Amino acid sequence: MSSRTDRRGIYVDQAALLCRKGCSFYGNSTWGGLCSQCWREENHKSRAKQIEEDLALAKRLQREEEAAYANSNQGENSSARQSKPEEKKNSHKSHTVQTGKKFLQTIAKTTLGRDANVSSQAAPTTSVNQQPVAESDQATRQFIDYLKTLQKPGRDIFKQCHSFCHSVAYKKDLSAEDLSESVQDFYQNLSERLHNLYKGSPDRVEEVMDEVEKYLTLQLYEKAFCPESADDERKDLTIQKRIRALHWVTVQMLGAPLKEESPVVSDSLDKAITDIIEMDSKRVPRDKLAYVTRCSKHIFNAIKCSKRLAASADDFLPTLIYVVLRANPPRLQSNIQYITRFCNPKRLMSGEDGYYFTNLCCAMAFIEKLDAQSLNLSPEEFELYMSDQASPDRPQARGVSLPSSSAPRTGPKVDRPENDLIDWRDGAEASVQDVLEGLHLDSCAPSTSAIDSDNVDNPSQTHFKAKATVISGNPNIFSGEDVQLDCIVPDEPSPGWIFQWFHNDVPISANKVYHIKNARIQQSGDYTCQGRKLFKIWPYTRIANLSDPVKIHIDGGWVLLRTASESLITEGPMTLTCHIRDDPLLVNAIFYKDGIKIKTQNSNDLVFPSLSTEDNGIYSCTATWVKNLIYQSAQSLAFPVTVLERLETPRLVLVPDQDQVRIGTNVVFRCITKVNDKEQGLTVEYYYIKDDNRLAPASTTDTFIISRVNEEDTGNYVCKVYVRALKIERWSNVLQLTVLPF
Amino acid sequence: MAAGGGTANRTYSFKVVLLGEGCVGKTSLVLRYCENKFNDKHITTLQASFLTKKLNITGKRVNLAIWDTAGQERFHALGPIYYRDSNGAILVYDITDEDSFQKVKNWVKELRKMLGNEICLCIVGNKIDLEKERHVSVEDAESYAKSVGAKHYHTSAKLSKGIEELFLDLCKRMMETAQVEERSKGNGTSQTSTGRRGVQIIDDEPQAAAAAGGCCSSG
Repeated sequence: MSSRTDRRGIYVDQAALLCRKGCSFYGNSTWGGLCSQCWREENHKSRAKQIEEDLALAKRLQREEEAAYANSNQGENSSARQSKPEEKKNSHKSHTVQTGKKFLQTIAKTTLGRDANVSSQAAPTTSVNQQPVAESDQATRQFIDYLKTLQKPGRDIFKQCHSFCHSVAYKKDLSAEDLSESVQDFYQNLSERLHNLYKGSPDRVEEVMDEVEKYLTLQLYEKAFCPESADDERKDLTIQKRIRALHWVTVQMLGAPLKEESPVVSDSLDKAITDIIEMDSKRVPRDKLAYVTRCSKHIFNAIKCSKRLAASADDFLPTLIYVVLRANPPRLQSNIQYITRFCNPKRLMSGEDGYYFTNLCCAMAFIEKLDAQSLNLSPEEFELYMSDQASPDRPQARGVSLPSSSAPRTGPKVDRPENDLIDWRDGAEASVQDVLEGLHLDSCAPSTSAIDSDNVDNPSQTHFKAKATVISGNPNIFSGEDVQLDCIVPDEPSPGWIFQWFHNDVPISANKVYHIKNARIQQSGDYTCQGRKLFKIWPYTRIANLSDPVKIHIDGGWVLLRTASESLITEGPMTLTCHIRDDPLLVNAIFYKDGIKIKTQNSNDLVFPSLSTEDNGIYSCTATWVKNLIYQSAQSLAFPVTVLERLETPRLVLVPDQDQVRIGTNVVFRCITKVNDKEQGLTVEYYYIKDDNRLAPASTTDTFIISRVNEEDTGNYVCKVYVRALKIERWSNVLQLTVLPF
Repeated sequence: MAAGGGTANRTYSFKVVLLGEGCVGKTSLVLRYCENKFNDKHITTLQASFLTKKLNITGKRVNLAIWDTAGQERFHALGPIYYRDSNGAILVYDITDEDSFQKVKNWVKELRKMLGNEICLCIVGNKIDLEKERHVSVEDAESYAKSVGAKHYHTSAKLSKGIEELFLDLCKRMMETAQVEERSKGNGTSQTSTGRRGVQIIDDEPQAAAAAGGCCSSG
């Protein structure tokens, strides 16, 4: 599992990506989630039985389709010729296709593959193989349905496509380029004919060509996608590793004009990332291209929201590169090659889709060749990052010291935070309005603030305290997941605050909301924020002091334990969640407290309806789950649980701390307690008692002063706190005070 | 990759790449041409990197696809991926920036090397509204353009000067080139824009393996 710790990006179903056998090559859903090598091995066993089943299915489907289509087409029978070579080829396998021709190429391939003569033993994985058959069957049906609308030319087109598929499918040792060449020639010839057929309506031709492309590529997908003859698979792996090693590349290094802190921008980027990953799940080149285009549109949106200007290629390409780096799209090389080889060339070379696809090719080429210079880094810096010995701070970070060689680059930025606070003022205000309008353009607001930074530290300011909270996600997440933090000033909620976020005391962002996307382990730690509000008139500045830290833990493992609630209070509930990466199917979860097993169950959540301080302790869990039919098990890290009392037991202390005082001095008692309740601002009543005698009426201050004590004041003191709203009272420790004579 | 049948009622499809350094005004140029807008907050297009324009020139339809390219130095090596199969190239420099003109020269060299004489080159000196700050002399630019078989244009995206002329002229030149190519090819039956020379498939005897000679795709 360690190999997973540095994974980044948004994940689609893992089953669709890596080989089920865990050999770290990419799997392929059409190979039952295995990579080509494991598939070959596995397939060896299951092939024989598969043949029988496929043939039976093939025969049936064939008869159905053939009957349906050819019946409407009697007298034009052209199938006799085609059926012959098949019969010949099939005859060595005790199964013969008797009637007509077979046009399900996936079946043809299965039955005619190299391993076809393996004896029939153990064939457990029939279901995985059925799927492509069904899909291509469906495709054929749809194709026929479509062609029917074209009347007679439709039959002609089908005949050509069908026989072309056959001729190609039976060619062994056809290299990827040869196959591509054949298909492209076929496209061209067919399209020329169609142009003669549908004179003056090129749109019609394109429409037909799209259907032809869909039919052909679905029939030939197995042979055409990531073919064994080409080394696409190896290249896929190389580029995948390369992208993983480049996980530290930031938006700034690429020169992409992105304001990642803006939720709209980051949301668009996430969508772009999802789309480029999704591309792999499609089988028809045109559908794959459609995902590249969708991805690009999201990128344009992100740029538009960052810059407020229409995106040029200068903006688009670096952003696309960034998206590709973040996404690490599965089988990138294979997909690009497949599209290049089998897409309708017209779409690829001149259309809008083609433009975006070209940019994707550029992005891949750039990533492959990327070096220190292309990121404006010194070679030393580049090496450090590549070898994972150092990591630049996340995008928004600035003022962080990098290796000395980069001084000129970071130099100008070092003094920025202060300026930013002022600059950001309008941004922050705009964001409030934008949210109201449902149109978030926060980061694009120009700075028109006329405020002089000299006023920032005006002594007449009023002080507040900022509060950092988690607004989405959880402080305990896996690497690759997201969490959003929000900075608020509870005592002064009116708009206009300018915030500054810190990660382990390093300034990171000047936005109200800080979004940790695609979290990395290094981003664990304390997050604090502070606020400033500027006025053109007195008091000029208002300060919200540094918040208490929100502790973010980013886990690189498989299982983590966490609770949804921010604070755990006595008598309140707690749900401990044994969270597994990617939420696979849970078998069971075992919960431990202080190393002792407390519960085994088959759900992730362990519920404590009413907490007490006895529930304090160190918890962990071990989960067992099923993924790709394999049982896996892992244990979480220790998770400390501290239950807070709703009204904490007060501590009575003397300020300064002493237990003997001289006659005539002033004695200051403090009764320290805290209310932990969802409801804020509950009133605490304080009672001070000496030797069972109440000293004064209930007060609302935690301080009690006896001025100029004398010997009679010697005695045992306690304080009592009471929250009327909760009807809870707590007594403090006993404090012995001795008043000494002069 | 001019597309068109043998009939009079034909449509040309041209791909034009836009090359130029960062701040020379490539984007403004195309947005002015396609949207007639300049630095407008209300530009409706989300992007200015791929734009199309339909024209009618002497009764012939022309579909123009304008491909913007990333002009940053670090992306220079990617140029050939962009301008593959393009019919025209617009190379933009900023008349106030000598450097940007040098960049244009580099691209011209590369384009000629990769695409030969089949591509129509336009060298465009943009920002003539800043004539006072001119750093690239008109004579130098024009004589250079002439020496490499390109045409030179003066434009201002800001004042909308010279842009219509630039594109119209380019289209006419690309049409001429396409016609010459067609004639040299023979009867010009090719309708598709791929430039592939495939074998004719005769009914249901597909000759899939008989790949066309001499048209290996470079990709």
